[in-house]
Amino acid sequence: MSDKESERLRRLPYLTRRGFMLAGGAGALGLAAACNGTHATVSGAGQKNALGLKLPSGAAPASEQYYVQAFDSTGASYKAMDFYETVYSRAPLADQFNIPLVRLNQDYSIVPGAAKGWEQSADKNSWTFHLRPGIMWSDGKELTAADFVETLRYSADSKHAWDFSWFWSGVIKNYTEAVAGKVPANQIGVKQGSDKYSLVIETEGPVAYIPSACLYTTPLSAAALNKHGSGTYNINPSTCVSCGPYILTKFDPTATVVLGPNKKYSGPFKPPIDGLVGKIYAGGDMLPRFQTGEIDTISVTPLDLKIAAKNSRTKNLHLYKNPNDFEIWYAFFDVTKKPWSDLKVRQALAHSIDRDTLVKSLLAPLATPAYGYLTPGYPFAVEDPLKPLTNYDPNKAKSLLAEAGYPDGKGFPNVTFNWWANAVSNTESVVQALTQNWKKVLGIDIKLQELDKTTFYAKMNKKPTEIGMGFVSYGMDYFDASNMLSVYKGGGRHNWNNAQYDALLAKGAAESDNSKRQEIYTEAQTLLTQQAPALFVFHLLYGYYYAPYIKGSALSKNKDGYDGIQWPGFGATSNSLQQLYVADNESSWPRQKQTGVV
Amino acid sequence: MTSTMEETVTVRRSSSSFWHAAWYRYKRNKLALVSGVIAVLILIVAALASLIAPYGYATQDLTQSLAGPSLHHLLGTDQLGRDLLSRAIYGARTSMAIAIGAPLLGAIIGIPIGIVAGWFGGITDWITLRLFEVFTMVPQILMALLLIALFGGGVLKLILFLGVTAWVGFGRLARAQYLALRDRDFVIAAKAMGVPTWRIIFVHVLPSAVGPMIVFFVQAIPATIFAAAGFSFLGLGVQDPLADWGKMINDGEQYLSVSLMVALLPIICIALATLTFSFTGDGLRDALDPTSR
Amino acid sequence: MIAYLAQRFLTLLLVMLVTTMLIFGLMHAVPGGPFDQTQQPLPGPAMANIMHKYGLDEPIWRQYLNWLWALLHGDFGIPFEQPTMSVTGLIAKAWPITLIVGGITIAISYLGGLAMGLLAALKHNTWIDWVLTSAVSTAGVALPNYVVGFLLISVFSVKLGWLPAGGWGQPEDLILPVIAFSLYPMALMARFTRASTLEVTYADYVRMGRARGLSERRITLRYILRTALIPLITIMGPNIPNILTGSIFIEATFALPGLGSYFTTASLHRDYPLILALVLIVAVLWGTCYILSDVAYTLVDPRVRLEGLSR
Repeated sequence: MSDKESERLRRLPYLTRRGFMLAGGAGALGLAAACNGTHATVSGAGQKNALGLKLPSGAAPASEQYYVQAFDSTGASYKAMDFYETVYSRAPLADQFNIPLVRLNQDYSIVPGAAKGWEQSADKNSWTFHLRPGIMWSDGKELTAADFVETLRYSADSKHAWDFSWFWSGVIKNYTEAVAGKVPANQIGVKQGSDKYSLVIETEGPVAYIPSACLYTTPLSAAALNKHGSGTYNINPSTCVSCGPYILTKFDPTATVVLGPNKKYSGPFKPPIDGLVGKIYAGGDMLPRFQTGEIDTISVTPLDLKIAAKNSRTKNLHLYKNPNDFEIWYAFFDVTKKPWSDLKVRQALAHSIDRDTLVKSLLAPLATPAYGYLTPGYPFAVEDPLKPLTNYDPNKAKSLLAEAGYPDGKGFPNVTFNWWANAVSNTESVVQALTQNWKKVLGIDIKLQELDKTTFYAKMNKKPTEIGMGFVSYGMDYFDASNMLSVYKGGGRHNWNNAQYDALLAKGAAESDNSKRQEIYTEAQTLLTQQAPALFVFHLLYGYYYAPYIKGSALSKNKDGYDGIQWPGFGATSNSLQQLYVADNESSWPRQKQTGVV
Repeated sequence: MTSTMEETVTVRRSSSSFWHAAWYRYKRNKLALVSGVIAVLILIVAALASLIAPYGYATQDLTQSLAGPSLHHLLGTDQLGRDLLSRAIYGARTSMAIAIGAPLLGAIIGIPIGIVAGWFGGITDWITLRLFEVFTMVPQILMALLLIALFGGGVLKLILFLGVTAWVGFGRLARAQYLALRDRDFVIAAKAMGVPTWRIIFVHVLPSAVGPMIVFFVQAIPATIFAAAGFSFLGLGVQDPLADWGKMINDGEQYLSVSLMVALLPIICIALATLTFSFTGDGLRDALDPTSR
Repeated sequence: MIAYLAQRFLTLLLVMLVTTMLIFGLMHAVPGGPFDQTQQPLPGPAMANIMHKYGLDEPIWRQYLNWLWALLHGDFGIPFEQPTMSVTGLIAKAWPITLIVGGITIAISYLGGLAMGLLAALKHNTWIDWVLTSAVSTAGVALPNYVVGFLLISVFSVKLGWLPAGGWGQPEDLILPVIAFSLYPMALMARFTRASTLEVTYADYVRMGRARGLSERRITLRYILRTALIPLITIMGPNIPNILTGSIFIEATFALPGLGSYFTTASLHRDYPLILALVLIVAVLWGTCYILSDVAYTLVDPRVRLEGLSR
């Protein structure tokens, strides 16, 4: 998923106030004195929560089954609560008012959601999804194929100008034309099938990854959409319509968003947690807020870990780690300009990065060295064939540079390396380590020039790109190699145009046999790493702390050994929704009372 | 009356003995003398940084991140394993260049404008006042963002930017001082005697007006360092890995609970520079004022 | 006086107009817009639609006039950062907090600084002078306020637990931010007061007064203070708008939901309506401040005349 800024703690460096949690920060914890969590005298096991689910053994009473998350509003703008209204301006706790066609489980596999089954047509040009009957909206109407049809048509409507329309463009029939206004939105290849529970998606040619992509089919209510004309009806508690387990109780975009239980919920998955609180902070340190019980979970950086290790309470907390949206952080070149137009120069730089030392001292334990675009564990990702193409080999690097005409860096032109500050990936230290690396091994002096984020992306996304060398990341949008690898497709954001690569991607997108797809994508990744239009430095791992009373199988290790709530997070698109609950607070961890929940 | 006046040092007409007397008065002020020596020392260290510092400012040792003081690194290291002592020394070079260069530029631009505005009055003064206001109201961040997008960053451009935005302070002060002094008896007397304007300004008005200006200049030094640090996150500023005291504080602030020295050292350096330049400035002001004890 | 003030405020309006025009041009000249997306650039029609919705696809001069027209009707627009609120709503929520902290800061730092500076000057070259000048005022000037904030929090909040580490809602939340914020202006005030008081203390006419037998107190109040105030007004007057619009550092450090952070984020995020609204606030404050300090000159120095202070 792209920029989920609300889940990342992006902050301008000087806004941190990490130093507050000195060893034994008893004082700060003492401040939460009045609001300390109490060891429940009555267990909730066997009790029914507000949605009618029987709580498991060890659970806290039903009144405590709520989950508080923190959101950093720096740089974010909150317009709506639904994916199909806007993707980049979604408020905290968005996409909880419905059930998508499919969901994702912990092992990143697609499992049934609102649809109980699906199949591709014989001619491979369409997919049919079969909805479960009996899922009701809170306004009394039933969830049918019509809701999905109306929602997708709304997204293609050129008047709505949805900010994510690239996603279905070229995938769903006529979608690109509808977005451009050439055909009316009701001509797109989404329609009701043989009955009201059957949804047909017609594609532009065979598309193998439709089930993965359909993770993003969180529908709006067709009735409400027609009544209000847009999807913003869900930011108002009085007009919110939900077929999911939660409904909007409070919406204050500068302070908090609260979701309460949807008493009219009739869907197949009942979560133990029946209230959600999203606390919105304009920057600042999250760790103290976690330690004083304001929030139930945080995402931590390596520095947070160092600080937490000094505190008696947090030093024994288990650190949950997973790749979240499988980010790759890399340095990219504009290969149309000198000296980057020379393959040998690029490869020289590629072989001169000591990833292991860099990751160990600046990012561990929350990163792994990267040799390719895809993080191991991501569909069709490979690593071993890529290593020899870009491993740390100073001698090889030096000789490559000499062959390119710059022995020991002599005569190397002046280049500027642009970057923007991001605390989670410790970019400032990483780029300095990189330039120092290149200086030491190759003898070239690369000048660093920081840009503010907006300027950086504006310059990079210009056609042709205005950044000669930069440091950037990409996180996936959906679970398929076609997504991540398409960033380097011709005409993309990095000005690298390789016909062979494009052909491989096109083949892979159409191929339905998985082993054949693996071959195609292995070739594509190998080509990408070998041609080195980018230097892959590290894959980020997200670290999480959960308060000890937050339990459930959503947190346990998945098939790759990663734990904590996996991407896409606690929401309708993930089956973590059913697998999390609030347990007895045996360790008397502080938990502040939340008003207005349940 | 005469008895008290005999204790003062007589001010003579010729400027050379005025400066002589001023130097004599400065020397007598022990605090100012010592501070002056230290201030000059700081400047020397800044100038000779590459000769004095044990390591380069960019030399990293990733295995020694945030280490405490040791034989190899007398004051410890920062998050990239760079020697803090060396970074402090190189930081003196960068920070002093900015902290003295920018206010100097501001003074050179602002003081003449302020005096001219006061001298000519009328429409010139009116326009100058409006310029003061407009310059103050335009957000510096926007200007900085535009300049950096157009011209790139770097220390020299930073000095130019800060200097040009600092002229307002000096201009207003110079103008106010000029206006306050021009109606003083000794100025009117000089005019009546036919002393040319420029001489009045330089020989008579300026020495009396210079007091608050010195104080203003001296306080601009730490203020400029912090302003430079504030802009460093926008990209218009000192770029990594160049060492600069203000930027070092910014960068080190997040590591405060892991290693105190990373942020403390530049703070001490700035405080030291501020103190010594303040006392030196005070001493200068006292020395240049012909009526001080 | 009324005519003078009216003329000054009209001039201020003119300056504000010119400034907003400058800033309008400046905003649009900076690369990057408010709706640029990062991972995948917004598809063409979506971008076109958004630009049209906010009137950003019109020529700049027309956009400016639209904005001006809306302004005259009291509509400051919608902040791009918080599109579900209005600019006025956003500012109305955030500014009072900044004003409260700022107001108290000004009171404490200006009065305290004045007193300290006077004392130091009158006891020139004694140990009182030395302590006040070096320890307090230089420390205040040399330490950045977020470091002071951090120190205050780590001592009074974390170690001693006497005061809250941040947030807003109780009276105690005020104490640490105000202390951190006022240290610098107080030190500045003290230094300038001392300098300009010293200028005057040894002036001939003051000595004349002493020789004539006037009491030290009368001399201080009537002569020294008044003359010393002139450069003070020049330098410290303009600091008031700075304080009243808040410090992003203080507000971030103490988690105060005030106006200070918006000044930076609005520019960084190209939030045009918010930038302009904030500029207007700053302009009104600065302009008023200049006008008031000019008026203050006349009260303090009878030789100063009001007509543009020129011959």
